Amino acid sequence: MKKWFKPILIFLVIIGFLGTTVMLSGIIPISASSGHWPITEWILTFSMKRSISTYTMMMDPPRLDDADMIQRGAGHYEIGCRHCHGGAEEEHFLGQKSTPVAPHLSTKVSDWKPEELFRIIKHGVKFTGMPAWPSMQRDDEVWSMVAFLLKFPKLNDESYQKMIHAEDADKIVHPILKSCSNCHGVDGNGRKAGDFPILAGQNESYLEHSLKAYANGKRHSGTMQLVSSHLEERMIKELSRFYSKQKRIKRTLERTPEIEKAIKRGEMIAHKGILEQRVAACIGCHGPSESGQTVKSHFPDLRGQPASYLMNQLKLFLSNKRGGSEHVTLMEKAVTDLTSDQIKDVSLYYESLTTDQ
Amino acid sequence: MKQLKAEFLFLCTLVSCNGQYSALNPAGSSAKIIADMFWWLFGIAILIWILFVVLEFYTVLVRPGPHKLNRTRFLVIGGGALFPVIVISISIYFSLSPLPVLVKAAPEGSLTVKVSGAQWWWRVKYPLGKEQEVELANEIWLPVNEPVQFFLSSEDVIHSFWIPSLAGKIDMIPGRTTKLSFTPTKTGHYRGACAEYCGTSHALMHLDVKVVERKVFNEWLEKQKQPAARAATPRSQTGEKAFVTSGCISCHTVRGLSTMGQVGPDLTHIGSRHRIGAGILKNNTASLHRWIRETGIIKPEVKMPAFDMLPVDEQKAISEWMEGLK
Repeated sequence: MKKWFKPILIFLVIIGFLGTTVMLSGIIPISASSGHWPITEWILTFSMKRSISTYTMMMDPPRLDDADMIQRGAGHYEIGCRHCHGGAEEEHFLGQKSTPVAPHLSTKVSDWKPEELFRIIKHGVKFTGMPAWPSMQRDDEVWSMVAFLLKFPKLNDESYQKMIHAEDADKIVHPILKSCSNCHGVDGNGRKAGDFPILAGQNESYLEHSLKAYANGKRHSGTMQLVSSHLEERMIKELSRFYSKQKRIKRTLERTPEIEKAIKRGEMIAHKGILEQRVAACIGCHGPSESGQTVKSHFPDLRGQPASYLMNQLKLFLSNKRGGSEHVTLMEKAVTDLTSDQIKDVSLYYESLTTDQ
Repeated sequence: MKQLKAEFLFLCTLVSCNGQYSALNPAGSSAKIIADMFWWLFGIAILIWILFVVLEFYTVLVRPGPHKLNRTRFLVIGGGALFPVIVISISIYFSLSPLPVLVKAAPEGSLTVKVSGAQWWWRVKYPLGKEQEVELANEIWLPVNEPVQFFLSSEDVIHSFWIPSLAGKIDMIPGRTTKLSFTPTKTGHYRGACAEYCGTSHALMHLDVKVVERKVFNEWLEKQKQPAARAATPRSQTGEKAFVTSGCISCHTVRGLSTMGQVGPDLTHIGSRHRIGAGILKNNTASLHRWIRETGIIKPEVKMPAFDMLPVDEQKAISEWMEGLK
């Protein structure tokens, strides 16, 4: 025992000394241009796969083949992901020059299960340059991205471009509107799919406060934080004014007898609130006003907004994950006790309204 | 010791002896019965205590040492079993016998008032002709020497309705209507409180009760029935407009202005009430402003959000306008 001890100790001290010397000398290149040694790459990749597999063991993915969901992922891919991973059929992109190489996803997506993609997108990967989703509160956004990625290998350049650009993108009047229009449409009335919130005719002050809240992370959204954080105050004001001046187009809602009934129930909630559940009357802030009283423009005008967007926002409120401007505490107190059926009813009611009502 | 005594005296004046919450200062038929019962039991307890002290003197000073068996039996069985049974039986009889009177409904045609407890305030409804009612909050007025019938309920958890100077306490239970009736016998300003722990701000759930002459009561109720007067001065119009456009009407009704709000207390005549926030702050512009700004600090976990995001001048305009809703 004692015989062993001394030489091992001396060996370790020498190794430590040499290692520190090499590190201090700065002789080792950390350049991305030279790539990893095969063994380093193998160890890193293996550890990554093991970690992702372990952390997704208990996860069940939601339904991911919904066209609206796929569309919601598309806009963020174009702005947040394409630079490094490349668009459909794109051959040259920035990530090819990084170590490890950011893969083109058309061939890589199938290597992972949906929940593993979720884990990678939400939390990012250390030592690779893959960042985490800007907001930890919005799993729904991350799932939309997963849904889009599952579709991604089937896209060609033409269908990809069609997906990420507004139908009437040729009508864009200012370059800044381009990234907005990818999801919200050129005039703020949204895209054909995606159920994006309608910005056209929205209250100007609400838009301005929301953009600021997105930019400083107080309203949680990875997608919106990415596009709003670099906007100057002046730009935020211009954008808010622009969208508030656009005309809101009436949505076509399929009116089955069940939906008609749901709308009626939703109307009751919106106009009277629910006393037993301490739910306030929606119309006191969001319109339509009872007697022509004007609603302060800090509050969003919900008339004609897609029900699925409203439902998602209400669920975020109930789980305390929505965030927002300084007025958000009002809403957090107002909807503490809604059931998911009531959320659906009241959302359908607001979708069924037009701005003339 | 001296300090302890001072504190004891202070507590006395604070909670019971002659304050607005005093059960020993009865101003109602039921409270009188309960106070009488208290004094009787108190008297009996004093007598027993004196008897006990006398017996102690007897055993220690007058006749120490063993007694004859018969004598011992008499003292142990008579004093230890028989005497308490008799005293307790009599006490139980006299304390249960007023019960039928206490729970008896008021005669047909008496004034009925519906009160429901909610975390942490009181919704009060007075009849308004047939079938109709007028909703008020956190303050009850009663005509003196007339029986009144209360119907009590709860909107969330169990509360207990207690106006110590007027009657005993009755629980307010969700899904049930409990009843209470009594006749106020002395005019005055009394206070009530929730007497069943009902959540974080249970201790901040109070009630002002005024007992007045019939004529004064009629005038008061007539005024309370009226819708609020619309704002006339530019300043009060600013307040009224801010109230409407800031979302307040989603929860609060101000009759004559908006009636969609049901969740929170009716504010039609808030300016006429003695206190705000369910009997916890003196009613004046400064308190109202503080309430709007620091709601959750004044009353922890209250359902109303603080409106501290409104411009200060708007907060002030709203409170001034509310103070004017007499």
